[in-house]
Amino acid sequence: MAKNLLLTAKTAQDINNRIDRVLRGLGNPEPPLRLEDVRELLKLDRAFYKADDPSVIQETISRIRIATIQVYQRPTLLIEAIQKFSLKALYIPDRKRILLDASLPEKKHRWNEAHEIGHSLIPWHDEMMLGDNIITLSHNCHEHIEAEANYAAGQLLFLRDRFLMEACSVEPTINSINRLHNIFGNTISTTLYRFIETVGVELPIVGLITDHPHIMRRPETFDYDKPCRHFIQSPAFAKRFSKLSETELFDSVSGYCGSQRGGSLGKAELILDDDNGSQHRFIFETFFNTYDALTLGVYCHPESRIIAIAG
Amino acid sequence: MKIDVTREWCLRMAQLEADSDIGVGRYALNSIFDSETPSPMENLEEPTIAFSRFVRLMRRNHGLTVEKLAEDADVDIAELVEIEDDTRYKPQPRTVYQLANYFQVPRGKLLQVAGLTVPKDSRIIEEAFRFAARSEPVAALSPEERAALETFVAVLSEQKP
Repeated sequence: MAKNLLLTAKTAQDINNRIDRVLRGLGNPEPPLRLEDVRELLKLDRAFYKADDPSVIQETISRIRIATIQVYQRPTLLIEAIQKFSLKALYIPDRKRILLDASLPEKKHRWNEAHEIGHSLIPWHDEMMLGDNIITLSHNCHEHIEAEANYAAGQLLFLRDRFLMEACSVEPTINSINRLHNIFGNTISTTLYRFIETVGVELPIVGLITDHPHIMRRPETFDYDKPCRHFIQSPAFAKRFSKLSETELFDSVSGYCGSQRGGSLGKAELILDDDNGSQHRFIFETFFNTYDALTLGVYCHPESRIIAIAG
Repeated sequence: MKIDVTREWCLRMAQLEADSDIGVGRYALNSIFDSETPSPMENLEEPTIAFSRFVRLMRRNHGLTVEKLAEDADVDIAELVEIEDDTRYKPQPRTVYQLANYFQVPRGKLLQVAGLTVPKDSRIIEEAFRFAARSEPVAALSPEERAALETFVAVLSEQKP
């Protein structure tokens, strides 16, 4: 799993302004945000599709045929794109329509829908969401626009400054993340992600979303070279600890995790080397929700070196 | 399995090798045949040379410093410096969008020139290379540079058939 891609300040600010406008348009709502209200405000339409029932896609295509020459020439473009990328959701700018994969668990719809709303709010994505470009983006560009849509989804679902305020006023622990997850109504994984990026601007924080770290509980499909589904670095962590690999961290986490079936798997203080080779103390804790193990590592202080002086 | 080395094959391979050094061991792996077909990534990286020159010449044509262009187009100044100085730099999608709007050229086509999308319209890329070849970044725009820039902008601005 690649490390999370951090956006430049200009891009992030531009997206923030657009999300602020939406939230103001909704009268700065209380959490949890109702996505149906966002859709209504933005005049977006939502539909579900299933891999074995392409009727919704067919219907969308038949409408786009009227409006867009490109799709008229290649009516199978959308189905091809969906199959090629195993897309979980899709945004079609011409129709202002969001298509979601109905076979995914409902909890994931919320994030996927917000991600597609993100695409709809970012004007420089329009050129890339439909027509020939959908299958011709360079890898780098594709990664960027996905990261931008994810960032927009995070800002939207966590109500921008509202989450910032709440996250900064609690202790950086898994318990706090659990509480915030209930308030904002998003999955615990996305809450962990958002928490690290929000609180970790100045404070180095790292997060891992993995299989159960205990050696006896790892599934058969576990890949030792890529142990993390997500390796989340806060901006401050990315700046100072860029040389640490996900496998090194996962190894250290496995060292303190118990084999419990769920709940807290353990807590420990770990010493991590920064890019200059200096040592720093972090507090790590891991929680298993029976699907994912969530690990949070928060910076404590530099580790003092003991220098022996001959007497 | 019988390996059949025909005379035709030998001649074809000899032609491909031309005057290249013949090596064995480590260097033999790095044969000239590998370089025959450039990887897709190499293809993608090429057009940014034209993008880099395009931004620099358009800026000078507007009589702007890097700082002023960054301010007017609302892009990051450090990124603008990277774009102009490093022809291998991959710009952010937003930056290309902002620059296309500022210079009033079609966004989709500038994305191709910037190497963010794989070029389907080969004519634009051919024109981009011609433009890059004709434009040398010097202090003031020469008549040739101005002509190259104008031709390139005209090609970018053409409507899709």
